[in-house]
Amino acid sequence: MNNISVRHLTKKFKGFTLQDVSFDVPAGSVVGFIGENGAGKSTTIKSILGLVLPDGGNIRVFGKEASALTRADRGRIGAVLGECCLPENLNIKDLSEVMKNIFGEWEEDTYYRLTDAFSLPRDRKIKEFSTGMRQKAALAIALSHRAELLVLDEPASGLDPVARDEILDRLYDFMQQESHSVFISSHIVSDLEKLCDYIVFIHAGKIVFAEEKDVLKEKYAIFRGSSAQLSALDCAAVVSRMEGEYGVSALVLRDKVPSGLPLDRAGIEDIMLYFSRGVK
Amino acid sequence: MIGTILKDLKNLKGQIAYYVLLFAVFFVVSALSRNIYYSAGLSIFFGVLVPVTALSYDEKDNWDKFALASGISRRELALSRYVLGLAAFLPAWGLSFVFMAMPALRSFENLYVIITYGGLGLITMDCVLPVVYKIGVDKSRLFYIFLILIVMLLSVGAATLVELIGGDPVAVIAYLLVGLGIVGLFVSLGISVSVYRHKDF
Repeated sequence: MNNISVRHLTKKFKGFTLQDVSFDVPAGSVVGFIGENGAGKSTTIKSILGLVLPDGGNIRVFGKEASALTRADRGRIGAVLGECCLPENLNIKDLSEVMKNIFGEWEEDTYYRLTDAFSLPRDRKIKEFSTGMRQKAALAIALSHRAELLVLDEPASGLDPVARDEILDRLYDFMQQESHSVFISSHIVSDLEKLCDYIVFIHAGKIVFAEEKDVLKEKYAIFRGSSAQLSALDCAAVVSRMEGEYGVSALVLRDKVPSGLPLDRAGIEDIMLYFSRGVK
Repeated sequence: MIGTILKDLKNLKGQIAYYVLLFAVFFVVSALSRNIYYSAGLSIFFGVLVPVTALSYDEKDNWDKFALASGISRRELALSRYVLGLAAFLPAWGLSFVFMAMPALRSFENLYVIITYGGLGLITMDCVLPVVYKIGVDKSRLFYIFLILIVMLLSVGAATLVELIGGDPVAVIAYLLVGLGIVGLFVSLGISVSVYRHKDF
């Protein structure tokens, strides 16, 4: 069962096209969405949330067409968008009163428990909050209306490691329920590496891969050596290469290189960099 | 809808006191000068000023993105600003009728001026909101200022017309304008909803 299923999503803007984007967010999993700035992460997320109207393709959330989701269905999605979307003149208490009238399943106790845990003062206006505090307030809201699916667009951007860790802890708590899923985009790949079961990588509007994190780590490795050593490898083994001051490095497919060849472990960030900046 | 309106009221809390004070001043000036145009005219601007101010906060806060992601429909979002506009305009306009209880101001001419201003208030709101939805608060400022000038001219013209013509034709024009304003509300809302339905956030 997939909580989100995106098929052949297309959206054209002047100077940018999101092309044939397909991936799934299975129930009970955390899916990380990575890619450079302008790769199409936010457009994809906005399409899922109904903020952007796709030109083509199909998006299903909880098995239903995204465009046919009812208000109650949307209430099952907790969203945190990159830019803070909370009214700046309101304080934490005001927000609770407003959200009570927006979400049918609003849980005030959960909200105040979270805002207290995040040390957010109840009487201070959002405009007086730091970026981190705003993101925490947005996350507190997303976690306080019985959401089963969190869609998070850069929830940790601009946050210090301590604040990021607090947010990750809340996401771990959220994932204690088997039916829950998280779809999260972030530039901070190390956070995603800790949290995610699957990684979807988008580059220039196209999905490069959508795979299980552990499979990715088994599949790819980093080769470092000379050009001659690299040339000796099977062409099909080399995904992408980068020239450096001290030689050549390449992202290679582990099962296509001779056993015994010294290889470095490829982290998600390495894989992303080789796919984005490397040369085939 | 209630959540969105509640958010607007809380967002505008600081300004509401200012609006009430402004209206009180205009009301007193109208009563003392025996000229209802000040007070009735202000109600026209309230119908536009309040929803446009709320929209400018929403644009700054990216509220529409949050609202749509939270299940509020595009139609509901568009409608909420009309409700807010009417909530600001109708009480202000309604209070203009209090002048009819003052013997010095009680006349058919004044009554028709108030009714005419009601129609103009609704028509102004009908014209402004779809434009603001389409091009945003910042870009629509020029249009907004231009429209205020037209409405001022129309208001002066209407008042002069009432004094010059008087009687039944004026009553017909006054009620016609209100009718036009009410019909225009539905047309305007339809346009705004259509604008919102095709908009990317």
